Amino acid sequence: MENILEIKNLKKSFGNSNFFKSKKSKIAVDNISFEIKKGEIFGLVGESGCGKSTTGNLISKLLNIDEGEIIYKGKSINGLKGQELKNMRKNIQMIFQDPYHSLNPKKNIGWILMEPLIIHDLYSKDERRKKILDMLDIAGFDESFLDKYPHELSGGQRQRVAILAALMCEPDFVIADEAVSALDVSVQAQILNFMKKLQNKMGLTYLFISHDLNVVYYMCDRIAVMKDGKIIEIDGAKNLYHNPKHPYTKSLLQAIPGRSK
Amino acid sequence: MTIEIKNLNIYFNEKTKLQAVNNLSFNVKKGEIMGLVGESGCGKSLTSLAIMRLLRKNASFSGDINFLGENLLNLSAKEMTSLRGREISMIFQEPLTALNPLHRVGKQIAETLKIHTSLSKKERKEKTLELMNEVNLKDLEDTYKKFPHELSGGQRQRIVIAIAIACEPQLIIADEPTTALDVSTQTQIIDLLKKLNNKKDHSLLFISHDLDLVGDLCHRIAIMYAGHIVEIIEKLKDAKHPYTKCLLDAIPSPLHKGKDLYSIPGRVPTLSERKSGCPFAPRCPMAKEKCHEILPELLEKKDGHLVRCLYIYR
Amino acid sequence: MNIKVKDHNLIIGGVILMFLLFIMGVSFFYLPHSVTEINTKLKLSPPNFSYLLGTDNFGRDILSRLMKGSQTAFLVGIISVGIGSSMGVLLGAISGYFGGKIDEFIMRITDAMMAFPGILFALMFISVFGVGIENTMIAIGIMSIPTFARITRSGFLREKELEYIKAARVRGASNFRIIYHHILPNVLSPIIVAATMSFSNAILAEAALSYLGLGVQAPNPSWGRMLSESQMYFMIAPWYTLAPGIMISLTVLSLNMLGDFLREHQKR
Repeated sequence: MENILEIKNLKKSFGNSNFFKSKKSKIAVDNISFEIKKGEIFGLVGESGCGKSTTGNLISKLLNIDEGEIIYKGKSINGLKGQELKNMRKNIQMIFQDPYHSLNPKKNIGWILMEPLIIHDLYSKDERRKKILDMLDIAGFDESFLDKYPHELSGGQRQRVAILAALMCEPDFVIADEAVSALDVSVQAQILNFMKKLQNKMGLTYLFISHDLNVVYYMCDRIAVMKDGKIIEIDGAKNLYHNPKHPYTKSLLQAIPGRSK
Repeated sequence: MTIEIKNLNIYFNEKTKLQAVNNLSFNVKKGEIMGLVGESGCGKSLTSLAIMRLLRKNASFSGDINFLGENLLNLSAKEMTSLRGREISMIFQEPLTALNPLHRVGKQIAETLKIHTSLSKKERKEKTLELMNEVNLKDLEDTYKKFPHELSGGQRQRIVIAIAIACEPQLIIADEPTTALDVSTQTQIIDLLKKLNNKKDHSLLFISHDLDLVGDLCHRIAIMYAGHIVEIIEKLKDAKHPYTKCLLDAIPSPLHKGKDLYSIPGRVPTLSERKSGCPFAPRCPMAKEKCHEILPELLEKKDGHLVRCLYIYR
Repeated sequence: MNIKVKDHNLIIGGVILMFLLFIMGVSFFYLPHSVTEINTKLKLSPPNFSYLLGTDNFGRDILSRLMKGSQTAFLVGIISVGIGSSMGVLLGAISGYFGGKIDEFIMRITDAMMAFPGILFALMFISVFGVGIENTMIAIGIMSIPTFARITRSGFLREKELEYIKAARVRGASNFRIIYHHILPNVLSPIIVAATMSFSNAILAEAALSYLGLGVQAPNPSWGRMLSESQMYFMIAPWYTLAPGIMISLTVLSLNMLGDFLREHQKR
């Protein structure tokens, strides 16, 4: 299987440069490298502040990298601007944590799902509506959802709409940044199942970012553990879980309550 | 019995009387750690606020809350204020907002002592340092002078716990105390709570949405759904109620690897959607016709195991 | 949004405003008497059958002048709020969205504008560009730009960080699209409240400028001008002063009440 994404020596720090003395910069992502194979679910796990979300933001180019390279399907996406950047966005998408703020409260579901198609000028007008209805169907929603507004939906429904919106342009690579962390347990299960179903149907590759080791172990084929901006360990999920090598990974696993012990 | 709740009902809105908590009954014994577990909207936080009489004005309630022989619902506001912090204390989810950002943390612990005890200023400081030591904080004198934003999440929560145990309360209510913390900090805080409970023999009502966590920590667990308690058990593996079992099947664990998680169809009903009969019936995989009509009682089926279901242990 | 009896702001303010708008509407089609015809024999007559609110010092019908004046008042309100809000929202949006040096630059300018007393600015503007209703409207409009800019900017700062904006960016939305389709609809609420308040301020400002002789010029009627001209006759013809005074008060009151209602009922 070839690599769909390669990260090489990625570095990002946040410093304060204002009128007064610039404060000491914090290194959020410290020289990390890894590869993600096409079709796999790659987990990035760590505690808050470890840099996993920043990594996701760097890959999706919501943030600019300081140093390093991001290679997507063999080509570097470092310096992309303008139309090239926009094209990249068709292929690399992101799902966020907070279902209550990830949809524009003033727009209905139909508009939200139509927007990516309009931005990238995909399909003809008639085809667009069909495409939206097809996507709604995968999530188990019917046509009536087109006119609904986010505040009329539950957290789980909103998250599903957010996922659909990310998939409207049929990306290959989706970054899920704590996509289920803010959901109730039973809703979380729905969304995880939904994500797996979509992966099968659309041939997606996921970068699954989370602080919850149980969820990451369940969903992912391979897992990278991050701490203080560095990658501590990368291994296949089963191996990492049952034979962790690094003491930090061991301590994380120890800390999980309950039945896993 | 430290606290016994009988037939607690909490309503919102005078006109429509939407019922958030239905006929809730449970108790917490002395020295026991009781878990109150459920998803959002089940009413667990409301229950804790009701015990503390901190519900908003638009909520009305009925029932009995017997704390050490006294019905809390009959106490005057003044009596209740004197009780809070001294006999019953609370630990909240977000330590950053539970602490006053403008006061040094040591002072905030001392303030509780000032309100409820007659210790002198010097004695209060000594006791505060003692408490800070008990909650495993380091560099006591230094930390005493810090402001909340200068501490880590785990340290802040320890301060909140120190305030909670300061006056040796009989009952501590912890509402999602570790939800905002990292996994490794969470373990430390849970261990701390265990240690304190062992040492001081107070009762701890631990509210959470995390079944596994509660299963680890608590002596008994009450599972809530849509305003009702549906099961009370001592060990998770003994769970019999369909909702509890569905939840256990929905939470990813190593046992689930490679399989689909159980996804409970539908969603938790909002206050206005709740109908008669068993609250879980619309989504229950085992529901029969009777379940939609009759609300089952919470019955003790086995020693210490209570279930609200018509078809378990039949 | 259910309207309850408690919403006295909406009810009272709304009723008064409807009444005023009605008067203004009628004034386009019917005026009891000519607004400018001078009739010295009838000057300063008290309210009577044919001149319902009496006449002024030139014998002109006060009621008709009052009605025509309402057109001026609302025109000034609409144009100046239009100028202030369009410029202000634009500046605030750019400032709040892009941040950095642009933000600092725009904010320092608005700070300077706010530090300057509004009426004084209007006086200076008019003394440079001349008197009359057009310049009055422009001056008052410019005065209100900083308020709109600040409110818009703070709304943008708040919304910019929310996840649906990040989502839009990740989908490939352009800055314009994000500003116009995503953020702006979500910050409209406080802007609308500011617009109602600005409207009433504009009417007061116009009245003040006209009172000073700088706004609407004779013989065109304006409530402020009427107040000014009626001053010296107050003892002998109080109705002449009371009429425009009450009109100004009622208009400002109703607009403020509506503004309060809107502010209380804002979502978020």
